[in-house]
Amino acid sequence: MATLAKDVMRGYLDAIVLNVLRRGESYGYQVTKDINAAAHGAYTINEATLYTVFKRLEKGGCISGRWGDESQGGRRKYYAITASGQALLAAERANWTLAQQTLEELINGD
Amino acid sequence: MATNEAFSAAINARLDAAFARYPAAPPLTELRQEIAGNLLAAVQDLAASGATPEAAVAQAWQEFGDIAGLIADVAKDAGVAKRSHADSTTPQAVAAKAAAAQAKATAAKAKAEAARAKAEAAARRREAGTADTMTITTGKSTTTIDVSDTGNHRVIINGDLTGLNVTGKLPEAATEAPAHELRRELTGITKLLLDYASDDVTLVPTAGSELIVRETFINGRPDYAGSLTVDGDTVVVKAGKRPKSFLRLAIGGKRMGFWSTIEVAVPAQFTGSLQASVTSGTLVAKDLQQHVALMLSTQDGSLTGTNLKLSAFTGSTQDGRVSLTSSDIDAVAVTTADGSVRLQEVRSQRLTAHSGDGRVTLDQVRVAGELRATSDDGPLSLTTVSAPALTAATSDGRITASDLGGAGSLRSADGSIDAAWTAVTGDLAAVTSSGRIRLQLPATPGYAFALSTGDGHLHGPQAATLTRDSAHHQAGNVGTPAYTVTAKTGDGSVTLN
Repeated sequence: MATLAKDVMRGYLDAIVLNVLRRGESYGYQVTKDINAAAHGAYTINEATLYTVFKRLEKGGCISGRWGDESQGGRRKYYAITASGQALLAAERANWTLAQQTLEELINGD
Repeated sequence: MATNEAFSAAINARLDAAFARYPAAPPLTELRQEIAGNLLAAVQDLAASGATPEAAVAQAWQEFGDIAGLIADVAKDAGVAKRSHADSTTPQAVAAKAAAAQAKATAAKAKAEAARAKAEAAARRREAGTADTMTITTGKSTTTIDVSDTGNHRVIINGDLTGLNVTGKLPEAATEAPAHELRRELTGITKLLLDYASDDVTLVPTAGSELIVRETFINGRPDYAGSLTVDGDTVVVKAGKRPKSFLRLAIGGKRMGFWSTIEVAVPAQFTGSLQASVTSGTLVAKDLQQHVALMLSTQDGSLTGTNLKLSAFTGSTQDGRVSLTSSDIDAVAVTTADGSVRLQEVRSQRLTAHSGDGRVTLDQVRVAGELRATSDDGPLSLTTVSAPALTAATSDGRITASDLGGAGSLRSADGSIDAAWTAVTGDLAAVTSSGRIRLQLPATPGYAFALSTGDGHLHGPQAATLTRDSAHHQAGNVGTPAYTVTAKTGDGSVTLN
């Protein structure tokens, strides 16, 4: 199966992760599962990469983390999208639409 | 089965190594906790799908990505310096080395602790009569039971006790407790709800107007006794406590472990609605003959109705067989999500029988109105069945029918249809996406027919007057048509005689 190059995806990781968290708070392993399932094998993200995205978004106030109350050893950090995160996602979506239309014209245009 | 403690110990051992060269600064301990939580979730997933604990931890670690790089990035961002081998003689390095050694010792201790906890739990289960696995050998057969998880296990082994050999401790042998009884006058009551758990429940009739519920427990306890409450015109009977997990065994008729038998004697004078449900167990109704709408449901277990004369019978199970025999019921609706359905000697005004995954068998069934027999995945078998409006449909399986009476349609999404009608009162149809169709019709009255196939031979009746005859379509009449017959297959021959 054809897969997407990592550097093609890099610029959209913030939007991709925000779009997952938009559906409800979640933790690293679950978010990688959701992303990988939605990409149907064309793209896979690992947790190490996701972690750097989480940290970047958290620093920017787009998501907030809290520790779950799982028993010892299995504590998970749950992340939730914030209002700024919602705003960023909306902006990223608009960017994507523009990119999509422009690239379509540039690559497939007559 | 490996426990979370064992998984965590294996994960911690790897994290100890990865973090060994960094001091325990807050951003790093947080990172470590977060990685550990996610790894454990991944390991649980992998182990649940069958991976061994070692393989699960190794795979989760590998799939996580570049953990060393991640730690280095976080350490750099936090301004935490990595300890180098060169300065291993500095006091800080000596202290860090000691801390690392201590962490290693702690991890080893945790691992030992987990192993001990597991052994203790197993010992407790053995004491409680539920060892991890049991192997039971009798003269003829050997049965191995995995009882390591919590859950209810029911094992019936037929045969005698000669040559009985058991590894693992058998549950307590039967100690027959005195039956617990609930009684209630049902005059003025129109609704009766029976709510049981992992119990076998049997409904039988009794003369008079008093409901009697007899609960018999083997190896029971006083708090297992059920309760009865009345709310207006409704009586509710609820199961008492039940063991969280249990193993029940029957070897050659000898019972061991926890067993419960609930017999509900329904007064013959009671009319109205009667609902009985169990979570896991069999439900049996027999000889009830009164104006009652009976509803039986179980999540896991079979449903059986015998010799019933009722206004309605509804039966549903998520996993088990459904059977109804020698009964006369105005409205019948039975369904199983996974299992077979069998109706024998049943008379009804309208009847539906459905299996989500299994065979549906109707034998000597007479319905005055609509009859629907359907399966999502299984064959349909009809013998001596009559109904003026019959629908027999399966999504995957063959339909076999003989001595049919009435009118209606037989449909399969993938399977052959073989049907013989002895009396026809209206139009007939047989349709399959793939498979041959063979229909036999009575000599009189006459009929008009239309046969078609996507790929196969068409064989119309000998005495027919053909009105159309091409490679894929044949139509015509036999005698003076009193009804029509349509037979259509996507792939296969069609024979009509």
